[in-house]
Amino acid sequence: MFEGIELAFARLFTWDAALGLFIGVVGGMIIGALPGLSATMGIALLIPITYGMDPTAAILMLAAIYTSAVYGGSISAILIHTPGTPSSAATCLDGYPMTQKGESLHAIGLSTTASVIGGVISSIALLLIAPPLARLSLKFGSAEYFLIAIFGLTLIASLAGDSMIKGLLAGAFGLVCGLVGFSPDGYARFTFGYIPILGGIQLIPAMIGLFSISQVMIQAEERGKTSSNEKVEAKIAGRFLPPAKEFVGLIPLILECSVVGVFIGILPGAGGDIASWVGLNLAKNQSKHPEQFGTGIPAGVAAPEAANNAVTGGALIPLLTLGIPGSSTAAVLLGGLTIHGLQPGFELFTKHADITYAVIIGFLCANILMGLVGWAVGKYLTKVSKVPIPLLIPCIAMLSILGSYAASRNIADVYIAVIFGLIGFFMRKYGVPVAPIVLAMILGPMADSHMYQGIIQANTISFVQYLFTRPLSIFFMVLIILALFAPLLSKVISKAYQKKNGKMADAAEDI
Amino acid sequence: MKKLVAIALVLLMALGLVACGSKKEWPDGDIVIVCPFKAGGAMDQSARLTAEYLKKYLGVEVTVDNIEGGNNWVGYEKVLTAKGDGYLLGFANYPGQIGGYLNPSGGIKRTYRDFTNIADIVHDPGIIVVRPDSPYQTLADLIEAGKKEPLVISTGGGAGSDDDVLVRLLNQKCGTQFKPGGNPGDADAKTAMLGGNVAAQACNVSNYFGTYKSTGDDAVRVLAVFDSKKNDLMPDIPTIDECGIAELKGLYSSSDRGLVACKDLDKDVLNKIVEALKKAEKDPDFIKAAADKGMGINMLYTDKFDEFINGVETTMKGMLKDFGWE
Amino acid sequence: MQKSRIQDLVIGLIAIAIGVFLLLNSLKFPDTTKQFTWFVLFVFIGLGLILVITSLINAKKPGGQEVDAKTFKNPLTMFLLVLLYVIMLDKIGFFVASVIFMPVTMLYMGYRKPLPIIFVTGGMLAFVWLLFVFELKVRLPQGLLF
Repeated sequence: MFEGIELAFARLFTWDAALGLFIGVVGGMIIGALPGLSATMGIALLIPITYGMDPTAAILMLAAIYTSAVYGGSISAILIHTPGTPSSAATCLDGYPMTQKGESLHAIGLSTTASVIGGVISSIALLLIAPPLARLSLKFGSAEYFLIAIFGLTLIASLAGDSMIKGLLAGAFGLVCGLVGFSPDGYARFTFGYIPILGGIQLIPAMIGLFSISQVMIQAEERGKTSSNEKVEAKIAGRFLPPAKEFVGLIPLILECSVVGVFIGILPGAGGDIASWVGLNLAKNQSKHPEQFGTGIPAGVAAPEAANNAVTGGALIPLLTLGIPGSSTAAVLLGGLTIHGLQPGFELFTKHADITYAVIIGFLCANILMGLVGWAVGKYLTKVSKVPIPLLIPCIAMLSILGSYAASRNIADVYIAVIFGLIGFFMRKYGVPVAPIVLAMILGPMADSHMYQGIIQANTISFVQYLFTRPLSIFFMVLIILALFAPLLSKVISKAYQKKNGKMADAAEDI
Repeated sequence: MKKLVAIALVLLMALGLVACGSKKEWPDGDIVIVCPFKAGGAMDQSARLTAEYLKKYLGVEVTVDNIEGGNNWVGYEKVLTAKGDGYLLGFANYPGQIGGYLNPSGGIKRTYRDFTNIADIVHDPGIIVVRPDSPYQTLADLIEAGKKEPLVISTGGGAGSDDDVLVRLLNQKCGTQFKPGGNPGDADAKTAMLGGNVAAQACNVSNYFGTYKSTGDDAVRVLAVFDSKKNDLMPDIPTIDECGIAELKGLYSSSDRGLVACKDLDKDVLNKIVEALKKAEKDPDFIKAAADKGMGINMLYTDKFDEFINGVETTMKGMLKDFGWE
Repeated sequence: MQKSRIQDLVIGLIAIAIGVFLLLNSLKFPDTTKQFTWFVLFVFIGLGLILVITSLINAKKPGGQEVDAKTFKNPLTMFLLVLLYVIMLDKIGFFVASVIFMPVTMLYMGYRKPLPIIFVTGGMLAFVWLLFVFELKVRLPQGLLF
């Protein structure tokens, strides 16, 4: 089952990989703790940096950023009542009251412990579930990949945020963007004679524009105001590690939330934001004193933090095996994989098994390292949240431009990033979520290409007939029908809890 | 008089020195090879290997610059608009480049004639492979079956890629009804073949040179190499001429990668590059490094290279209707 | 009509306009290309239509956030700064353009302490140079100087 795992260790224990791991963990934590910098954006910005790196170190760094940023988001949630990433919105509810009570270090300690356990469990799930699933993917043909892409697209509804219609419209816009450039049968669509986009609108500049440059523009609204970052002085007191008795009491809850988080992660489209709300709800349902939630109790921090970090490994499972990102952050990671010549699928577990297992085991290490670093620097990390926004913004803008240029060395891509920045700004202002665009830009061309190949492979029969002759295809069609109803359900659930718990979540965002 | 001669000599020497100073020998600075493909791929590896050995024989730094976009034409345009001083060269692939401008919807107005085609370096012959449990033991079996029913052969690229052209050529020569699979890349073509969703896969030696004898999940059977001579990387696979199919004698297919520059490249510079490549061609380290990456080296210089490209272009121009490119 | 509904109406109309424009452009495509292209365009136009219709039906009901276009002044100025930066980048090179862009933007955002401005700009660019140019050998746009 784990062919090539010995080689993986050789790949992992190199200076490059260790450095990638360390930079990923620390960098992710900083990115996560900074409000306005999400894991998705952080990875999008850092992919270009990984070009010259060894693939193992590169992917490991990106995966470490993912989990570490989700954890880092809780630090600002706890200390300044600002979720550093959307995944940490639920953590604010009990985390900040703990800070007000002077227990901020205790809260950060709890969040660290829960995040590490959630992350470790999800890495183990990744190690166990991914290889057999990858083997199964060998049986997949274009018909199945077409249906998987459609399946992924149906889940846009769960990324949609407040307005379902606008979310779907954003997804459709992503599909339209994906049409630009050569079609699978070799016809240049919608290029209007502009040669640099013959190969299509590239994902990375589009993504940097939508997430990062639009954020720079939104932050510019704060011009001249004293930034809220500077005002808050967080009190740090108490001990970091939770008392043994409290910890033992919380363990069952943390484990349960971790398992739930892994499952939510595997579902394409549903990410850490939903998982953290579900985790908080689990904690409440099991508590003897549900009325105490929101006043600063440990379970209210531990549960969502275990759940949202458990999502990370879960989201990597369909990503590595099928090329279907389980969350929008994973969607960006997919870009990183392909840049290093790693096509998701069974080859990752055969030809590139050494790299893949090194990444998975490294991911496990990242989760543990994250805890150690959190423990060591928890006290000081809070300073990051105090960088004045006027100094931060030009840095983000510069890194965005640099990132979109370094990706292809094509100056046209920089203009694409800027244009998508403007589009993203207006969309976000008018309540249209941008995450579905990214998902659709990945899945649209995949559906297009596999439909074209599938029609050829169907050969003498029609494509629809062909789908019904294949058992796996029928399975996926059933899954799609189920998925069409699932988001409605999950939306009702998460809406209900958000209402109950106050209006913290800006869930329309990424992660 | 002696004085006069001496002065004249000194003056001459001084003049000579000035002349030397004003016209320095090429190469005198870093050389950049533009690779219009992304880092890490087969094209990039070929370009980097070439750069390494140009550096060895020219004695200056040679770096590869990956400029993507525009279906590779952003990079090609950079090469075409460079100065002819020989400090900016490019790497091109065939038939990819030709397909790029023959497809009218792309709107590319350039052709291979706009380049100085310095040397064809990497020559990667086409092959046809099937699953190990396939009923087609030989190429002849596959051709026979293809005459009876429309079988699909997956290809690592759409219309105009070398795999696609190979399948269409089989149809032209043998009257078979093969359908090229229209797969966007080698990975998809391989998945389709291994998953048993197509009858065979058209690809290149480099795709399977390391694993064609594997017995694991990725085991394959190689039916033929479409080249005039035995391939060093697949020495036990018959060439097309050895397959005993009369109609297919001399049907060679390959993906080639070579060094190009802008049209007005300085003639001296061109000769110096060719000289350096000729030295590399005889360097066993170079050949070995290439073989390790699955790249066969088959150098064709300047006129021979043009002739080769012209041959590929002629073949493809005869298929425009097939491609839907009229 | 509620302002937020007018906003939705406009978004829907823009989507329909883009969709129809592309649809007209795609009439000359070969049939095999049309299949997926039209599927996507119809979905896009359809969703635009639904948004238009729902915003008209619910015209009187409040819904979604209302946006005051006046608040766009600073973001759009920021956009112009970024755009100028990109144009400069192409002409005078990455590092020179950044040395101009970063402090100007910091000043524009209302930051006045000179030392942090110099320190952050210099620090970030040194970091980029070390990482991209020195370590990873990525070629950044070059201009007159770097």
